[in-house]
Amino acid sequence: MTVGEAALEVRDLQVTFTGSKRRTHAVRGVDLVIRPGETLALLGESGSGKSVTARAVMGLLDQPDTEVTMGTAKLGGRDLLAMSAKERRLLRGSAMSLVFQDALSALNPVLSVGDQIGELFRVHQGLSRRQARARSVELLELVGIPAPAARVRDYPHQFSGGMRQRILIAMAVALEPGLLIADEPTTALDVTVQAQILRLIDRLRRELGTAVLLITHDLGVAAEVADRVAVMYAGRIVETSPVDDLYDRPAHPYTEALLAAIPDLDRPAAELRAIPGAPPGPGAADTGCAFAPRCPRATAVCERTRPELVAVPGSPARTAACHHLQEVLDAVRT
Amino acid sequence: MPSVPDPEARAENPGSRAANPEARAENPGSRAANPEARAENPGSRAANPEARAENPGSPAANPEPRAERPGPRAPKTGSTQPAEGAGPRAGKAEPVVLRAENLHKTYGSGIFGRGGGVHAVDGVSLELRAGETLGIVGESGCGKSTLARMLVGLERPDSGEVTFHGRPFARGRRAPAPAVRRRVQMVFQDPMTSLNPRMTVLDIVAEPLDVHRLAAGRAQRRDRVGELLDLVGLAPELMHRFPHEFSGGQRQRIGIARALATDPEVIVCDEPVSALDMSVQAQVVNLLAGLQRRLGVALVFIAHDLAVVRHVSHRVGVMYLGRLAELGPAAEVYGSPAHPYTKALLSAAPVPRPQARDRTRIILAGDPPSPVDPPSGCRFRTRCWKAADVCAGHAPPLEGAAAHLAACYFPEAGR
Ligand SMILES: Nc1ncnc2c1ncn2[C@@H]1O[C@H](COP(=O)(O)OP(=O)(O)O)[C@@H](O)[C@H]1O
Ligand SMILES: Nc1ncnc2c1ncn2[C@@H]1O[C@H](COP(=O)(O)OP(=O)(O)O)[C@@H](O)[C@H]1O
Ligand SMILES: [Mg+2]
Ligand SMILES: [Mg+2]
Repeated sequence: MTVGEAALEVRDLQVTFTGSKRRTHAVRGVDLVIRPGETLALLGESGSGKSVTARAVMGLLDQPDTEVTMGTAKLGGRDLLAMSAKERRLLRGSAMSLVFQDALSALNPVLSVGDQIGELFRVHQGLSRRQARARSVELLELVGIPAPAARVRDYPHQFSGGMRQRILIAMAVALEPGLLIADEPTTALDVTVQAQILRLIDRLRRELGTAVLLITHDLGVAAEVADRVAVMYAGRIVETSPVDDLYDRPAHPYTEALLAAIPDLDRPAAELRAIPGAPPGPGAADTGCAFAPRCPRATAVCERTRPELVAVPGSPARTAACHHLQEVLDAVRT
Repeated sequence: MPSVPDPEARAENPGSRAANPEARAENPGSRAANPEARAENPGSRAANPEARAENPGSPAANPEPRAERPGPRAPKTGSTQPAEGAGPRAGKAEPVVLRAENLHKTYGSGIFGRGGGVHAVDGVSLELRAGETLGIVGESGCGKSTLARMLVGLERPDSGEVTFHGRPFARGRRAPAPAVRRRVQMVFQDPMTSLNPRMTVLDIVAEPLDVHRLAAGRAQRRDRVGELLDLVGLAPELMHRFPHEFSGGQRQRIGIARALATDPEVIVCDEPVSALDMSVQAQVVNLLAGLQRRLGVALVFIAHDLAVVRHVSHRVGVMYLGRLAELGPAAEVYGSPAHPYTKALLSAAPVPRPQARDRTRIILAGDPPSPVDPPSGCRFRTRCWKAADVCAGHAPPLEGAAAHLAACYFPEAGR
């Protein structure tokens, strides 16, 4: 891969579910660019379209009643749109892989973990059963499972939640994919275990040079591990930024409001400023800015015209979609 | 692929065992008097090599004790800090409203035989004072909801008792008297499932009024519900709608209005914001804090989000595997945690500030042990970097010099 080539480049991703009476336009024109070895956090609250984005990128939405379109879709320089469905399927697991939130349902309960990991090597690399088993043990060790040679024969239910998530991560990185998508990988875990898993993902990223798309609803998690953050609201990305700038000087009022609404463990005296209202439902109309009804900075133009995601003046690495961008950037924060 | 050992999981901890065990060995404390939980499992796990942590003793991981506690504030809208005048901060102690004495609850021991039940709550004692907020934190499965249900009388303890103003509230087989029952209410985590979808908001909120015969006639019932909805920030006109017509945050408000209907002195809130969108959580946190200021109701606020609990609580209890590991004023528990588990928990919590990334952190190894077969002695010892032989013997009692208590033979200094 040449320098500067993105591990993932997706432009104008649209996903619409047509199954029910109403069409659900779940993802409304999302761009994602992730460089090799970089962690991009896709941050948004539930229902904003994060998981649908992940599944569309993985090609897991080739199903009835689902319309997926992309202007560009490149994985490490390979044009996904020019490939057959079969060719794309082969990339899953080898060139890109997905770690789900719920490790128990993602693992096969009737296969030992060694057989599940080993199958990847046998299918994709043609290894023998013996060789595959040996690689499985190595991988379990890599992700920190104690006594891996003994545990490789165990079944998923014999492991704790944190251990299962490690096994899932082992499977995801087994073939050293260029892109790892982790969809809320720690949301079901306790905070002490979450810290272990985030650290593991970060170590694998460093050692293997994998690009990571980390999906989370947690501002703390994104701050801990992301290089860049993309903030999603109602099916769209409303702001992208290097992680430090996003937290220091948010450009979008939604990001700004979220940061003011969460308590900080170390600054207990800070006051919580609640955001009024609730996020729009999936069937909401699409005129104007989706955040306008809850936005303290909204004016008439926000209800009429939807702001485009544009470069933030003076910060070429950032984008934001807000008519009052400058006002947000200039705001003095306490 | 190379197999790389994780260097972070290994760092040895310097000399923490030098902490002074004698200081605590005397005064075994009445609460340690549960002989069953001890003798099994003698010490085998104390030697668990996984139970290491990274730089546990580093001062960077232990922020200075903080005097600047969320100070008294004018009743500014949106301020959710515990109000001045509430709880133990008021200078003079408020009376104890609710007291839990050595509560135990084991599930399923009959079915599995050989005493192999789930030790959900195993000897919890605490007090709630009038008008204060007591936060309870701990990871999933540590017994928070079981404790909550016992505190409000929805579940009977196997042993131990809950008293309300000194009178037995739930003891043995007897259900709490209605007059007492209505003074202690509960708000549940999931606003989607805790409201009957076929009842109108009016009937949902009025249900406790009906049960306790607190409304004379339909007009008074409707007026009271309107008043309650207004109190939680919902328009009274909405009372004829059904739960599905509301957002998650609004449904939680309905649940709170129902809890307020009987004019309770205590509301136990079990993860009241955990199921809500993050942009909505602050609304409910602010609402609860505001209600406490206005109505003087005492709150037990249970959550796994450490920052939220600190934000709303005067005092905080930290639970681990069915027991309180630490209990004390919020500023002290968070500012200078005494129990190693509290320290690890605080250190593991993600901080929404990228600059904080490089702080020294304690990363515990492994997961919490199963409550079916908990470790003997101190339940945290299998993951603790300070664990010594003594920790596998008698469980350390919850004790301390003043209001700040910890159940540890080697508490952190500087309390
Ligand atoms: N298979 C489906 N059919 C219809 N609607 C769906 C489907 N999957 C997701 N959605 C809707 O798409 C929206 C985005 O969902 P999702 O991407 O799962 O959100 P999140 O950001 O929480 O991961 C939601 O409103 C959800 O209800
Ligand atoms: N009704 C029940 N029957 C059997 N086990 C239960 C029941 N309720 C809780 N438990 C078990 O008791 C322990 C504590 O549960 P809980 O009080 O819900 O913890 P928390 O609220 O802290 O997550 C867990 O191991 C849980 O599985
Ligand atoms: Mg999701
Ligand atoms: Mg619970």
